[in-house]
Amino acid sequence: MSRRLLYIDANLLVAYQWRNNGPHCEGVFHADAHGMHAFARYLQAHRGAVFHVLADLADEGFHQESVPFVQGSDRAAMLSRKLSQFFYGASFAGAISQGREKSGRRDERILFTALTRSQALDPWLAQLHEAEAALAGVWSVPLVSPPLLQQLGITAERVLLVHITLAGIRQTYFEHGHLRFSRLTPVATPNATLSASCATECAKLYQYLVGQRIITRGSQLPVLVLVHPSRIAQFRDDCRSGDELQYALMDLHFACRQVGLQVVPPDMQSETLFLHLSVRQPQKVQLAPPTERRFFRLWQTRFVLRSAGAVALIACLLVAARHLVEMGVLRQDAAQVTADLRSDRLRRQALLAALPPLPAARDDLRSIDLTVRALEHRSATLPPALLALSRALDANADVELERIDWQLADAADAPPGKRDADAAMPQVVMTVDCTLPVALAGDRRGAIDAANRFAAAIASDGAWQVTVVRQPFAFHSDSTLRSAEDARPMPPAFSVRMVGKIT
Amino acid sequence: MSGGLLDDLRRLRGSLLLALAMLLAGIAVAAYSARWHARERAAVATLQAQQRSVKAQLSRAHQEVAEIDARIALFERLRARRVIGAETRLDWVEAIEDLKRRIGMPRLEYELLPQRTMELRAGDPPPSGYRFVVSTMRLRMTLLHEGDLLDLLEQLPGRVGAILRLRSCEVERNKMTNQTDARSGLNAECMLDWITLAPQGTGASR
Repeated sequence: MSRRLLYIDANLLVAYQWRNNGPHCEGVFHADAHGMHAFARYLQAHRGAVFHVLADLADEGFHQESVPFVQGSDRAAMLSRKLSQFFYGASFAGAISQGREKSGRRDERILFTALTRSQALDPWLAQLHEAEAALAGVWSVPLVSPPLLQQLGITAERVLLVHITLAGIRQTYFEHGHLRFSRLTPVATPNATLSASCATECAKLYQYLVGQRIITRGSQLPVLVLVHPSRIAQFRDDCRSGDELQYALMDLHFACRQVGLQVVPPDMQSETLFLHLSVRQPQKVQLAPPTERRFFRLWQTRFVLRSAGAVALIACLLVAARHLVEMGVLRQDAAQVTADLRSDRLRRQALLAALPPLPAARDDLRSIDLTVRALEHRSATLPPALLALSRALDANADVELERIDWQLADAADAPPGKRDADAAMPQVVMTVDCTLPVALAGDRRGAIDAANRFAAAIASDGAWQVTVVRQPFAFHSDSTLRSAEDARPMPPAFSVRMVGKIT
Repeated sequence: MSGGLLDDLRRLRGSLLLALAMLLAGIAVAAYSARWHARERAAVATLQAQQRSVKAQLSRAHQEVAEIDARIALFERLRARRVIGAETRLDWVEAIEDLKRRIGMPRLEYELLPQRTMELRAGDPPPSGYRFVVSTMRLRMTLLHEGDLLDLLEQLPGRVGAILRLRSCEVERNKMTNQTDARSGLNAECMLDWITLAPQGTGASR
């Protein structure tokens, strides 16, 4: 964005180009036909620029008033009404909020200010309007001054800032850092008597402020004078502090450096300092009416539109760039996958090619393998059953083994109650015939208990399901129970059946 | 709409068109790149699917090679043991008689029934070039003690060219034993299946 600063006083316009280190003069145009013509050419040459106007005119009005605190359209209407009331017919006017009262209704303090005679401005603004130049706003020198006090660290309750511009001696009075009043005194005196003029004008202004009851008579007023280093001695001689005015001279170049202005003024004139401030620390309130700023609004709208379009384009390009980057990664992945694929295919082919010659058809090998494994899985040996039986015999010494019948029973042979999921596997079924001592022939209950104990001993390890299939004495209701009065008693015999899984 | 506003819009037309053009160009570029990106991603996904498939095939190939190696080894073992081929009944009975002598069994009689085709379980695929055949043997023996039977059944499989499967065994105390003959305490009768693999078209009938 190209930014141009226009300093306007009653006699001329000085155009500056704004750069980071400060304003750089581009032309001086006098308020006559020749100057207007030259300014029109200047505007043509800088059509796309945004223009800031700093007016340095003597005809300014200031009026401070406390008003009820309102917001929104009511506030705008009230401020507009007050401005019309104080500065009737002034086109360049504004209201500056200076905070709220600390007591009462907490009214808002407003400083109303206006350029009361804008004839000096009008032809220049007409040129700007004709050239459809983007006028960002019109500021007055006092309007842009408050930040200077902050930058210089001036915290006095009251202070009068005095400096020299092309237009004359500018005196601006501040209260608590807020602008209160300003006066421009055009000077036609030679530089040699400038310091004396300053002292005279300060004394006059003191009397004026007393007359306006802005300050009380006899009170001391600090006066800060911005002076070119080469003129400090002269000012020190002429501006002597008294009971009322307390002068403090400040090096103009030091003040410029404090606000970041690197191109310091060559003489006493300090307008570039305030032009610099108007851009570096712009004030929200400016004085130009909306009609004067129409082309600036258009410029802003164009800027927003183009920026939005550019942002959208950049965002889309970023998305596309991300896609491109990801595609690069994807292509690397694809290349890697393709290489892996080729390698895996080759390895598979090599594996299959390295197989030894088959002694039989592949399906036959598989079938033989499965069947042989199944046969091994479905075969059983005697020892597990005999081991369980041996342990039970050791624990029941009165039991005599007579006969064992070991069978590998296929599922179909399993007892009906045992045909569960596991019953698809063959089971080992072993029937064991035993006898008890003859002494138990007369002890039916003892013999039955001994048979049951024996069965329980076999089943104790949990691997076998054991049932007594023949008791020493047939005592169940479905069989015949006879007396045994034989002359020669026989040893009681019983049978148990063991059923277990193949291990 | 006021003339001023219309005039402003006319003045902004160029910027509006420029912004719109930038927006459309951006959208077009982003859409094209997105489409291109999606195509590349789909291609990579296809390749990755192929890779998964080939890796699975490779893994299966590894597994199959290991299985085939194991099956070849089993086949060769069976062939070395002469489980594959015609029954070697004379070798079998000689092995039984040899074991009888070694164990010192008082009596061992055998009866080897004719060969028949073994019934395979449902689900076991029958080999096309071979068939499992089985000859059931009934062994009757007199034992000094049950350990003789266990020795016989333990040692026999390693000496014969067949897969042995014990079907039943009945052992009972010899009631005819008197105190003077301690060499014949138990009688036993066992049924054993002798299973071999016969190439199709040879051996016994079904």
